[in-house]
Amino acid sequence: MPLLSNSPNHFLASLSPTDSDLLRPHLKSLTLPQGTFIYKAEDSVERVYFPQTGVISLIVGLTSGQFVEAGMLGRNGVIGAGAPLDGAIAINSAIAQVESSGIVAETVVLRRLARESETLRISLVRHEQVLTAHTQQVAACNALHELEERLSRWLLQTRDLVRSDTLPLTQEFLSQMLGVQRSSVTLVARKLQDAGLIRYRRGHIQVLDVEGLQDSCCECYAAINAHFRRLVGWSPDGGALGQLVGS
Amino acid sequence: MARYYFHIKDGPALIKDQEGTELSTAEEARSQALRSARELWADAIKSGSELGADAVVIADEHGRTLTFVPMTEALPKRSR
Repeated sequence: MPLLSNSPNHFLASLSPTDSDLLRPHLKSLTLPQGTFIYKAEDSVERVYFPQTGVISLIVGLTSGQFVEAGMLGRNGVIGAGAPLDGAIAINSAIAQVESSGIVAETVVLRRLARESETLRISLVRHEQVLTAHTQQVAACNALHELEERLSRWLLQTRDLVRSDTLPLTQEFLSQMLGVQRSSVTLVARKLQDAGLIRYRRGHIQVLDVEGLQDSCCECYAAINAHFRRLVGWSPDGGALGQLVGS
Repeated sequence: MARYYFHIKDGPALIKDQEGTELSTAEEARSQALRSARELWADAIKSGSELGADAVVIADEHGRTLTFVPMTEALPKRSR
C-alpha cells in the first residue's frame, strides 16, 4: 500500500502520519462494478470502504419497491464510517452508481484502531457527521426543489466525484435516484440540452457548461459543498483545504 | 418482457426516449405513461410553468407507435 497522503480518497489522504501507519497494514484494494451493492439496509457492515474513484449512492427503499437516493459519496467520503463507532447495522443501502475503485478495511479492525487513536476516531465521527449534513440537505432539496434544480445539483455533484465531464448514467438510473418518472427526466434533460448545458447520448451525459448548470441549480449544491468544507476540509477543486483535517 | 419507449409529443416536436424500459405487458406500459403524464402535470402546476407536452407516445423497439396517451387523460375526474 503506497503512502496514504497521496491517496485520492480524502479521508485517507488527510490522516496524520501516526494514524496512517496504524491503518496502512490493514488496507486492501477493491473494485466495485456499476450496480454492486456494498451493503443493504439492516445488513451488518463488515467492511468500511474508502472510494478513490466512482460514485456510491446511499438509497432508501420502500416496501412498494420504490427507492430514492438520500446522498452520494465518492473520493470525498467514507462508506460505513459509523460502523467502527459501534453503528454496524446499515441504516440504508449503498450501491456503486458509477464503477468505483477504492480501499477497504475490516470494521472490527477499524473499531480496535479507533479505540487506540482519538484523532482517527474524530476523523470517522466527522465523516459520519458530514454524511448526516449531506442527507439532511438532500431531504430538504427532494421535498421543496424542482426537478430541474435537483437534476442540476445531482449532475454537478456526480461530475465533482468522477472528475470528468462525461457521466456514464442512464436516464432510468437518474429517474430512480431522483424518485421521479423517466419521462420527467426526459423532459428536463431536454430542457438542459436545449439551453446548451448538457448533451445526452444513450447511457451518457456530457456536461457542457458548468457555470450554466450552477445557475440552473438550487442552493443545495453549494450548501452540501460548504458542509464538506467545514466538517472534513474537502472541496471539489481540492487545493490547500485538503489538509485541514487530521493536521 | 419487451422494451417500451415513452416519447413525449410537444406541439410539432417529438422528444425521443432513447433508452426505453423493460416491461411485461402493454397494459403496464400504458399505466406507466399515465403515471408520467400525471407527474408532468403536477410539476407544471406546482411550479406555475408551461406544460411541455401534449401526449405521451408509447412505441415498441422497432419504432412503431403502440399507443398515444393524451395529457388530458391523466387529469383527475371531478369528485361530483
